[in-house]
Amino acid sequence: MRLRLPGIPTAGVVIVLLAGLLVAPAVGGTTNRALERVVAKGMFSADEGARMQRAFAAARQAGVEERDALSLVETCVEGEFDASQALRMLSIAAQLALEKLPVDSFIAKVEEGVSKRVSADRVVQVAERRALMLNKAKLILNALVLQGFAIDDRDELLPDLAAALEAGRTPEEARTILSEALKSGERIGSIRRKLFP
Amino acid sequence: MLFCEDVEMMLQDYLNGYLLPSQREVLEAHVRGCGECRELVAGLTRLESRLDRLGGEVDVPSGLSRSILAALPAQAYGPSPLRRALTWGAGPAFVVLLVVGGFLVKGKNQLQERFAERVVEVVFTAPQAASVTIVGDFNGWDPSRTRLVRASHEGLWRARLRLAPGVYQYSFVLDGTAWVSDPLAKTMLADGFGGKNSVIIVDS
Repeated sequence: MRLRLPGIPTAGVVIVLLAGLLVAPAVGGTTNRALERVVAKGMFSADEGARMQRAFAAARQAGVEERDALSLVETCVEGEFDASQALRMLSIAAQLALEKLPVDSFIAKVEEGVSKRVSADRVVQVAERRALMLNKAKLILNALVLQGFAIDDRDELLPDLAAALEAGRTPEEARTILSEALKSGERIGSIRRKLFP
Repeated sequence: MLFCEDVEMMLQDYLNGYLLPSQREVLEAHVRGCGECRELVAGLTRLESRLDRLGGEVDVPSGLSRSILAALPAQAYGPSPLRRALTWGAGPAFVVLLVVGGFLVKGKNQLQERFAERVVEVVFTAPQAASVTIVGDFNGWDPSRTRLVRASHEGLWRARLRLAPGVYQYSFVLDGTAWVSDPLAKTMLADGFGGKNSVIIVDS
């Protein structure tokens, strides 16, 4: 079976194919060398390494940036996560990306826990809670949009709202603060201050 | 008022059945009146039901993408649409480009202004410390990245950070080991790990 690309000279085809070969591992489907190097630093079996490659490729396809996915795995390795914990982190990152939620906010929580030398179990728990709060924050903002509020700064507000919920603000309180602030046309800086008194 | 991008954002929750009845009603009212969103919802619903029917995981044959590319009609890659566009649309396209370009430059300037980094000065008093670093959401919580400089013999340390507008949680690390909250911070939050983080809000 021949690949026909009319209008593109042969040299061009060769260049495109070579570029494809170079880029393919980064996009997923085959082994990602950078990830392989990171995984090699951890205590993972060959099978776990292969599962990590598949999860990494899936996260990339879900929209997680390569450097974010790599940094997440690197942090997990540094925090001595076992394979199932690291895979769980990659899977949550992928879910967040699919939901168009800020993956960096989730990764920051993992980094924080590892940097503070907290046990991997606890880091996973707290990071899962951050993901949950990001989802809750999205639902609160969506509910406000459905009530007719125009929220220009939704993407910037979302991680802050999630952090406020995480810190103990109830969804009802957050909804009231936001709706009152939006009604009176307050700017994002002032809303942030109200979320974190 | 619901816009198409709002629908797009909520679509997954809608299909998963996470929306409240009142929310579903508003979304469905928009979808009924918007052909584009109706098509999007119908397409995703069809896709989901097909995926459901597939059941378990499916192994994709290694040569699948090559076979698909080879089987596609040659015109799909041909230059004819571009050539047509260049022949008939060059003049109007140039005018449109100029107008759109103008708006883009204006929009870019506004965005730059909105997300422009601010210089934030942090100070910390630790007369006995040999080193002080600051860690937070802005530097991956990495104690080796942002060092404070000793500013006086009385043990005052300071650093200047460039931060985009937003809310940041942070802490100080003394001598690479002791994590200490900022006594000057107006807001402190439980970090979930049993400690507390200081909070800084950078205004736009």
